[in-house]
Amino acid sequence: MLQVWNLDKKLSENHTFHLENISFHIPKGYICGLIGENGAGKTTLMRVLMGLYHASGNIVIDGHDLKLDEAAAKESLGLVFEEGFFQGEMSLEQIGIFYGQLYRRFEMEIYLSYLEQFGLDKKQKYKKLSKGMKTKTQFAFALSHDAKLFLLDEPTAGLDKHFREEFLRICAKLVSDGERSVLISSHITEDLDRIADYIAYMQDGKLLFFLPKDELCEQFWIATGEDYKCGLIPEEAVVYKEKNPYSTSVMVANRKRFPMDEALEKHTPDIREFMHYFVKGGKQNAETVAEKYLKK
Amino acid sequence: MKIVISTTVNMPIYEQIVNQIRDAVIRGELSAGEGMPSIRVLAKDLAVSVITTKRAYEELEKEGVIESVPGRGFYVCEQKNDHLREKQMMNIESRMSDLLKECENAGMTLDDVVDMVRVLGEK
Amino acid sequence: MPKLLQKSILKSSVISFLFALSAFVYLCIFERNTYCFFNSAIAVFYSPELAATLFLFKLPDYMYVAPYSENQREKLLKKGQTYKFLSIYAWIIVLVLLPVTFMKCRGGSTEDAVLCLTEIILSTSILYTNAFLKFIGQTDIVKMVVIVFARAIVIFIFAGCMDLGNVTGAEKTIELIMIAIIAVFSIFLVVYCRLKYYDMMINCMADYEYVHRNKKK
Repeated sequence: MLQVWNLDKKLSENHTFHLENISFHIPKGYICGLIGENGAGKTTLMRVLMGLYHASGNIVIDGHDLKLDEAAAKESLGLVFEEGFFQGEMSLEQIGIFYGQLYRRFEMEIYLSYLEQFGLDKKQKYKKLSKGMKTKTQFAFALSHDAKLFLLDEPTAGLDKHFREEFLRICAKLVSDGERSVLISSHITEDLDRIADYIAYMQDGKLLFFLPKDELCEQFWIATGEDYKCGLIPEEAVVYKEKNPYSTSVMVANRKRFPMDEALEKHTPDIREFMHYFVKGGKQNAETVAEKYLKK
Repeated sequence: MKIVISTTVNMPIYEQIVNQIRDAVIRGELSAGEGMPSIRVLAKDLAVSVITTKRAYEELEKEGVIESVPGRGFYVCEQKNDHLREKQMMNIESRMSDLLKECENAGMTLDDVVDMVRVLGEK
Repeated sequence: MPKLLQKSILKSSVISFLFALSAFVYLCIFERNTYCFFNSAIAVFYSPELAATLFLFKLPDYMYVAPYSENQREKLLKKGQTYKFLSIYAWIIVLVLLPVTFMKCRGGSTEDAVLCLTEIILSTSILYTNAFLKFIGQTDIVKMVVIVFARAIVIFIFAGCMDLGNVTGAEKTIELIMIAIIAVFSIFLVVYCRLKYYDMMINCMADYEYVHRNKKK
């Protein structure tokens, strides 16, 4: 569904946009979570995939090359991102009328029913909405023109748990026929733990790894226990050791190879824990760990 | 069949699914030969990732609880009830030993634990 | 053309038209010359209209994510820019067609008609080339300065020729030659900008990164 090969974006004058040799492939019917610290390049990558920024390399969306077959590729994209690009003066209903016309397969009834489902008043002006409601509007719109690939940049930031649950249900439903895919860039890792099939991690413009979520997390143990016992773990396996007031915790890589002391309590990290230790271990260390254990 | 996923419990989601389906089969809620929802449909209904339900089904297949019929989907196997029961017991045993460890940390003796169990069980 | 774009073009054109109209009203009130309603000097120094012409038609941001190829965006930009141009010149077109102007120009002497025509050409040239100035400045600042300077000189020369009806002999010949040069130069400038920079400019405007490069993220 989404194939990216050797995406490169050179440094611009103000050095803010930079991507280096990114390649990955999201198959049809799967959800990918894009994670990384602020400034890692997640938003830049999303912008490139949306067709806003140029980059060298190949991007193929639903079989259409983004450069050579731009209009057809963009027809298949459903977007949620910060700026939104909807004109504030319009009501939500007008947004459906004006922007819907740009897509061949847009259906107003579907759009209006989603607005209703999300508790939005179609007569309201877009600019008067809170940020969360604007996001919901974008989401409703994205769901209404038969998109095949959804690029969602922080789609649940600032939204309550109730909507997040609804959002997850909708995403799961989207991919259930095996024909659509979703790429979610999010800080809310609990959501990704639940519905992400793949995890992509970015650091300084590079894609450190792209793995099925289970494969990623099950490379590691989080071992907790006495500081002394933790110290016995071989250095090469340690991603990061954290001393807490009452115990020490270590994230250990390549866990199949390194047996753990029985006295240590161990569990598989969820994405949040993984990121915590991964990031704390430092950027160089992260790259090394990724290179050694997380490349397919 | 009702499956409830908890994100607060420490158990991975696929394990929760495996346990609940296994329990349902043992209870007789799911009978031998009955069709299971497809991996994707189950993922949609539970709002979880496809790889989660896929994993759950793989585990259940390994245990012999369900089997996959190529081109037709997943079906509940003819059960050797002992085998399943054994797995169910193993599960409970593991959770119980975790709990007992907690009780030990709380300073309870074995008698205290048994008393508590009796009181709760009689409710 | 999608409704969204129609809305955008309409808004842009109306704004340009209103600016141009206000310039016209301003001219009528402060008109100092007897042969014509137009006055290049005032047109040049009337800032709002000048400002309006400096801005190109821009696509709504959403057009950069919507299903359009770069080629299609370029075509739409050209359409939008054409409408914007037309609305800036609308007042000239209307006035040229107004019987009042016609009578005034006809009622005057040949010299008045010549000056009137030259002034229309000069004004049009200034308003048209304004749209390119920003872009030319980005690619080659020297060229931009040269063009602005040359225009200013041309305007002053033209101002000096306004007494055409009152001079005779050698002076008149010189002034007529100057006027011819001014007219040719104005047309040359329009053609030069159109041929050399228009396609390049539109191509850049069709690229989101270019349009937003100066905005902080």
